[in-house]
Amino acid sequence: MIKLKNLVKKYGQNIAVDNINFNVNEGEFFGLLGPNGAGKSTTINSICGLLKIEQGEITIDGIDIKKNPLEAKKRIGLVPQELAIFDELTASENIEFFGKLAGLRGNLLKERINEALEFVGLSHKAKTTPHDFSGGMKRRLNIACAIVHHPKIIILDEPTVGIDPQSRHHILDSVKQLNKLGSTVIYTSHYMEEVEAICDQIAIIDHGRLIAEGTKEELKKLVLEEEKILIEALDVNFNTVDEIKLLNTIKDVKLDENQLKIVTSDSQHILQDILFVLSKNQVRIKGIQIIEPDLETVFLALTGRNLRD
Amino acid sequence: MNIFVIALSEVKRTFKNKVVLFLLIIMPVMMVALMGYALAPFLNPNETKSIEKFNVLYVNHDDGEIGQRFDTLIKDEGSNYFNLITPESDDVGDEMISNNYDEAIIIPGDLTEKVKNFEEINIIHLSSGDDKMKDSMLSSFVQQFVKSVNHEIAIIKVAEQHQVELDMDEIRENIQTTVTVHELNDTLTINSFQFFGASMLIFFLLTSSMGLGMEITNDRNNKIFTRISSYPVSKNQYLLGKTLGNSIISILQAISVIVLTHILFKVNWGSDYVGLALVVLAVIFISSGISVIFSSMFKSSKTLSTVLIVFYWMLTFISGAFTPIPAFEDISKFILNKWAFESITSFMRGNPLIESIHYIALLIGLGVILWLLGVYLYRRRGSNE
Repeated sequence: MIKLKNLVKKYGQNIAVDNINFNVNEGEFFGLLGPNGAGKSTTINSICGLLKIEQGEITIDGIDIKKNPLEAKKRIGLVPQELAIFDELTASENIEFFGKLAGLRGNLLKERINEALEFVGLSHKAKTTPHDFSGGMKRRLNIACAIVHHPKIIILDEPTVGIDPQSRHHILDSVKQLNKLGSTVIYTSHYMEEVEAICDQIAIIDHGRLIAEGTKEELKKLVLEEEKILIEALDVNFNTVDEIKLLNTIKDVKLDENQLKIVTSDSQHILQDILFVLSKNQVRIKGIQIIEPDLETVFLALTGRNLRD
Repeated sequence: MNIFVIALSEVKRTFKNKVVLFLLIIMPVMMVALMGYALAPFLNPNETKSIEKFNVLYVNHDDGEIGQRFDTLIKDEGSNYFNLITPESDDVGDEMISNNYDEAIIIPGDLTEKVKNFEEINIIHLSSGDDKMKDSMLSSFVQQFVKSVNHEIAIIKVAEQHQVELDMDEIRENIQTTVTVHELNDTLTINSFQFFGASMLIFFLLTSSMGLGMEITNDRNNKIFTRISSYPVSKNQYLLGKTLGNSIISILQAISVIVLTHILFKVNWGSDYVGLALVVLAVIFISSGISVIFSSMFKSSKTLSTVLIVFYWMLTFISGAFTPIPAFEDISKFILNKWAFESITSFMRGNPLIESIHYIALLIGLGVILWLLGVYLYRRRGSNE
């Protein structure tokens, strides 16, 4: 559905996007993950035909965005990171305006406005101006304006920035629903939990470069299947720590006050041995937690820095 | 089609904002009221100066019917305004200078003859040009007579060609040959409400079109432009839509100012509505062009509006449209407000469009230049980047 080939975008001397390639298949939920300033929004804006591309190709549903931007744009619904809505117009009028820009008229437009309002849970606020909305409601209206024309591709650029957990939950559910209904979704975020929870395919971008791409599972394999075991325990001494270090598949063990931090490549099989060592040394265990590698770990391993640095 | 969607949205949003609506419609009328009353003593010569009878050197070389008709008219209806003096010498011009007469009329000897030959007639009106009021009154009087006789000639000529019998008395009745004091007064000067009606109309048209620049800047800053561009809307369609929307608002503002000042302060805007519309549209065209240029130069709409409002205040002040300032008289000739003001007040005086056409041409020419520059800057600026 979307193909990016050798995409390069420069602002003066700065390279915002550096030779990015990826494909998004029809019906896929594609996550674009990266810290602020990584080049996610530039990539999104290039896909939407909003930026002049210096190098590379982008095709939307087989249409070259450079050659036929207006035709390609008919297939896209963009939810910008900013709240791009008119404060003077009611929720319904805002959606109507963008629906008309997409070519909707008459009864079909009315139907779609009601549908979009219902979808984002703002039917009861149809005649209210966004001025009286909470941050979360404005974000939902921001989404409604992008989906009124039933685009084949929905692109959401950090749609959950700065909103309450309830609204975030509502937005994530709505987006998942859109994907289930058949829309291809590109979702950018620097919240790895969101991307991890909802995306089928994930691309990680940093400094304008695509540093990894694949399913969640594929990406985690990139960090050599590291897992962490955290054990809250009393009466742990350094002999016990040394003994655990000698166990098979153990990579690292640290004692931090009453917490043992163990890094292993196979928590499932080694946990029994660890518990045996602790029991033998009369350590009182208060809690055990196994942490599988997440995208944060993947990002850290690939770039040497945290996602939110 | 998207041009109209954007334009109508502009109008809708403006009409929803009560403060903007107040500024657009009520403010200009309030300013006309305030300044019209405050400066009335300085700008209403007709209220303080009555029209006194003045001397006119009068020579009638035509003994025929037409010469007699003019004689009767000027001695009858003109007696309220003119003291007819018969010159002592043949050289009327010399006598005007030596005896300090401002106005003179010479009826050529072939006037009636020309009518018989179906030729266009003319009456010679000499004026020193020192007193525009006298010049204007006498000119109106003479021209109205000449026009009526030439109409008669034209009618007779056409009737003869088509062999139609005419009732000349009825025709003469239908062609007005009387000149009233009221009409003469209207042609002379404008009053303070007319003065400020014209100047405030121009000033507020300039400032209201400033909204276009602010809209473009705001849309760019809050990413509305990015969002609109993600739909099948080109940059040109966006600009045209915004311009059309703002122009509709400015036109509605102009209509409301003209109608309200006419109702409230009896402002006579003249009868040349085409000319008036041309000037209004030209001013909107220019100020839109300025707004597009400034929107490409400034990132913030607040900076843009502050700079533009100061710019327009200065233009209006220098042009003498707030109050006439002799020191700026020469420089004001190069200011667009002056061109528009002179055109509108010319219509108010009852002058035809042709007399202001050079000003209107200047306005349109300036608008074209500003728009070319504006579009170049607008297109050069990658608004989404």
